[in-house]
Amino acid sequence: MITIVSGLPRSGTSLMMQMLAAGGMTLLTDHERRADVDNPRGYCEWEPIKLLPKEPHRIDEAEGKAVKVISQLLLSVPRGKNYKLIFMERPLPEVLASQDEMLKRRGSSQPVHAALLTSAFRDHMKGVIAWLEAREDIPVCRMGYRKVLNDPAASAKTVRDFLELDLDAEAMAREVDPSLYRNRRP
Amino acid sequence: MGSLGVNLPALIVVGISLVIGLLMVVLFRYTSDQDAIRIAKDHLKAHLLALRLFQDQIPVVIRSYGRIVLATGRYLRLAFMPLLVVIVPLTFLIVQIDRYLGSFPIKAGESFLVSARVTDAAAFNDASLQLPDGLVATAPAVHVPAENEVVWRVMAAREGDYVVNVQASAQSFAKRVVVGSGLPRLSPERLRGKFWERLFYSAEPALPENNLVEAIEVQYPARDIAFASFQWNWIWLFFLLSLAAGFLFKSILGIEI
Amino acid sequence: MKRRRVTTSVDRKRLALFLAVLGIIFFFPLPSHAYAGPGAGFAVLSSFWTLFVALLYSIYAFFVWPFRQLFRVLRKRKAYGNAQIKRGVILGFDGMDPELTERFIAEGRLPNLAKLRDHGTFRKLRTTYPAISPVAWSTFMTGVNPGKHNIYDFLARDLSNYLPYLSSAEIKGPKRSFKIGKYTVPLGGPRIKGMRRGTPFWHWLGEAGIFCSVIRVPVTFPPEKFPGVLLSGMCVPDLKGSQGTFCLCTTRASGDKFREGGVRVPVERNGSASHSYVPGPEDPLLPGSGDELRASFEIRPDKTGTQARFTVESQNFTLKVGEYSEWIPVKFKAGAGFNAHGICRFYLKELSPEVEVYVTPVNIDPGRPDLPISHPVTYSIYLAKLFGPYATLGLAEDTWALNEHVLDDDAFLAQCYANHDDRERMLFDALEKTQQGLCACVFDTTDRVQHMFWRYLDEDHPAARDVPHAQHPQVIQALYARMDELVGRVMKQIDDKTLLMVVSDHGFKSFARCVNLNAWLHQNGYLALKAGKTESGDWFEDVDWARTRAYTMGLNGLYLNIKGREREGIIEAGADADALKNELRHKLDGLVDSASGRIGITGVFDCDAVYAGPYVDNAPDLIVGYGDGFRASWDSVMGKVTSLIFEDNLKAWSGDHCIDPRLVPGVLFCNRKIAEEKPGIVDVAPTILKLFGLALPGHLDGKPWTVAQGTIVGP
Repeated sequence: MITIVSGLPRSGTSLMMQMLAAGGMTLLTDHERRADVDNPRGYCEWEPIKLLPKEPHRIDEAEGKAVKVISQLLLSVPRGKNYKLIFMERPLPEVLASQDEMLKRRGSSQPVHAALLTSAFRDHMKGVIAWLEAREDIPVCRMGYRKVLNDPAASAKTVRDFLELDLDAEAMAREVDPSLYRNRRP
Repeated sequence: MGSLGVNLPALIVVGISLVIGLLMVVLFRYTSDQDAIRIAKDHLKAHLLALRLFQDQIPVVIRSYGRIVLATGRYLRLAFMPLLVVIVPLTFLIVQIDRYLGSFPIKAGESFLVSARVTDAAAFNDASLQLPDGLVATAPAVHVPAENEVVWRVMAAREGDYVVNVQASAQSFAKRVVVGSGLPRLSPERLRGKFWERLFYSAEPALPENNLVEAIEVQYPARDIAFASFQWNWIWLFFLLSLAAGFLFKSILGIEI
Repeated sequence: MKRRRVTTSVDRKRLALFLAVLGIIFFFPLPSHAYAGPGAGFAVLSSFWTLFVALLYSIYAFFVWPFRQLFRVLRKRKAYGNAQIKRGVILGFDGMDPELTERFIAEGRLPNLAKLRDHGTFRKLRTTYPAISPVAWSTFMTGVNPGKHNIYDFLARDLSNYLPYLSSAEIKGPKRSFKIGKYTVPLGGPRIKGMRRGTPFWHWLGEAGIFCSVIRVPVTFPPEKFPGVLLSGMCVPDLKGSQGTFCLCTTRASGDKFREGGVRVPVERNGSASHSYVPGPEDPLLPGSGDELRASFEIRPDKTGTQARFTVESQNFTLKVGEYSEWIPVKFKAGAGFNAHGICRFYLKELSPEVEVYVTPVNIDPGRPDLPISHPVTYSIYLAKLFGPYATLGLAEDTWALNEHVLDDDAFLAQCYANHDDRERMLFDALEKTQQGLCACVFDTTDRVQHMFWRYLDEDHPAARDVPHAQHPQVIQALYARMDELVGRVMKQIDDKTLLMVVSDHGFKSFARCVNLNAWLHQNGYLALKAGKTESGDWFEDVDWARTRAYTMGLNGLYLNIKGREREGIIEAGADADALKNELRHKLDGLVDSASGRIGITGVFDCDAVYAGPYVDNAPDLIVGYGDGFRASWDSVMGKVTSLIFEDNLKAWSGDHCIDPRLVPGVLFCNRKIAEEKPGIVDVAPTILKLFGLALPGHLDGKPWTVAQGTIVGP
């Protein structure tokens, strides 16, 4: 089985990957993108996954592991394998705010109009949800970022039960640090 | 080939195969227990599937193979019963067709063999062949003591329907010889007694009762029929084509075989 | 009804003689060999080819088998390494009730179950919340609560429009198609999505190298791949994609529409013959048009008027009045080579003065299934070739036809037991093929017969008032005796090392009074109707959602109209919703039926307390536990709001179990001693895994029982 963790950028995908690792799951990651102030515990990414549209067989390397596949790349996940997908959801304003901060920190000088971004992300999410519904072969667990931070124990159990793996739910819950919940929006 | 360049023997075989194929499956339908045959075939398929479904359980595989053998026997029994009904008329029909399609008539200018099988030594030494006008012996008679046969080599100068006579001890025994082309009815042998052999190999009345000559044979050349770039004995071609026709008609008519 | 031939000893002697004659023919050539002709050619060619292929495959299987075993060991699938048992048999008797069982054992009717009880184990088996077959069997196979397997009822509701959909599987059209004019040509087959989550225990067993044969366990459609064989059960659709649409072909002028599950089709008289048709699936070339494909048939009565010759395509058969046909294959042609294949049974109800023929729902043909109904695909074909066609529809016994008085009791029972006989054949074949591993088979007969004939047990039942008491007074007793006899035959087939369990998913109680919970919600201000309406049609047709706080549909689920969840939700999630739930629980729990003086609702359960798992968001908000004798009304199930909260149940469907789960536990029998005093159906899966020596996945909710080593009860 291949466990995919996905969501919009800044929706808590790295947190979920860290939780899975703490629970005993093997991650498919290359540590290329190091931890920084935006993600103090690391990104848990695997660069070659970006080749998925042209090289869908790359997903084979995630067999028995968890791999982060950002939402834009989900549409390239090939059929014929046994997947389970954890989709992280975070309110769009928070996602945008977090992205904005990250871009500013990296010195990006071109602010993007919020309304434009919101519209773009909404359209993108519609496409992703349509894809999720069309892929009857991929069970999906939609996890709210807020819920994970507010109730890590229940969230950890939910993820463990969804994956049906012997994960240490307590260790997964301990991985959650509410102080990392920045850019909160009411 | 016919005068218009048509391969008449092949056409005849194709036609007969289609008709016989259709007749056979229809007769099969009405002389067989269709339900039982369908069930027997289904059981065969089930046991075959079991080999694959339970392949990791060797006892099941072995038992399934045994059941396949039994089910095959059951199926054959059901399939052969109607065959017994049709085999007699079919055999007669095929024998008659063989008289036309089994051999070529002798060609004018080609030599051929006439043989006589005799009963005793006196006839063996005494036998001679009387030829009509148009046929000539091209070599002296050859005696084959082991077979009690006397063989003459003859040649026909021109086409025609001839009668040759084998003479032994002042008795004369006629045999028809056809020299020509096309699809005449041929009789390779004329026999004394031997009802069943006459049925299959002769198209002439039996030799009269005598104690000298048992059989007179003319060795007509075997006919090969050109079909699909191959040369065929008509019976094999008929067998294959009638099978194909039978499969076709059985599917169209929904008959279980 | 005619059955497939069984080979007798006389047949075997004839076969032996024939084989001897055949040998003579083949070893002593005759001229006739040259003239064998097509007949012998077919037979000889096909049979020897079969033998040749079979021999090749057998040799292949024999030589490959050690490598397959080695491969398994290398992949650490050390089957039976820590197993306490090498073979297990689970018989599922849907709806077998423990109280009835005890009563019939006391009456001496169930000697085999009595033996299991006396020398092995008999317990009541806790069921699920709610006590509905798809929920309970899903828990049985996965060992988890519904919050982890996502099945809460037969139906779920679409949050965007409050309409129902089948909770267990979704069937959509093919992914790709192209249009030619008004026609849409599909490229590929339909897409089927299984909605049940969780992993069945046979999957874990198969992965460990333990072979499993699983037959007709509910909620196994679409069939999932695993190393074993499986035939899908409850929730397999018919060829129309429904859960069973029967057809009444009649010359009578059309009456009312059937309330559920059936259609009327006209029969046209043409001289001495009559013509009608069997409605089939929607034309795949005109999706969404509502145009259905049809298979025509002709009925030609004989002179006596007591029987008729039927012609369906090229098939002919004769039926007497009151007789069923065999399973008849029907082909629905859509054109351009697109065909749908099904099977159905015809039942001649009447020939004079009117012509009436009942046709069962068109089942998927197991011999050439258009949808996957088994794993591997060839397993259903194998069973069809071995035993002939059989019912594949999940709810194969046509209870709707009996409810609608299209079938009478005798005809319905005949249908039930014909399906039951087919199931028994499958079970015994699976037992023979599974000498090591697990064999699990569920029988639905107990459920269907109890649903429809409880009125014969309960003289006070409203539906029993018009029933001639002499007709079938002992039908349920006979049913239980038959199941007991089956247990006895299974016990003879197994050795003393084999574990045998008999389980049921729930029990049964009388269903005498209907409760329309939507009516109660309306009358108590929780559900509002549109202006001017005092009642609502099916599926909340006249409900004013903007003023509705709660609603119910399905058998036990009560839903709040939550903002952000339901399309027109008005209740805030969180504190408001919790408060409303508590209020409803308080008011409904103990609701009294003033007409009978009895308690209509004996428990209302908060799903947050009852369920846990990744799929709790799909659960109802409350589970309503109806009291003994009560159940959700026929109208309430379909989202209809009427003015009566309580009313008599007058239908033939007179027994039920979709009530307070505490009132309808199932049964557990075992041929070994089990220590647990209060076992639950959720414990079966972990128990089986433990007995076969597997480590238990951490997410299971069930706890494995302590099962004694060694079998107490021999065959």
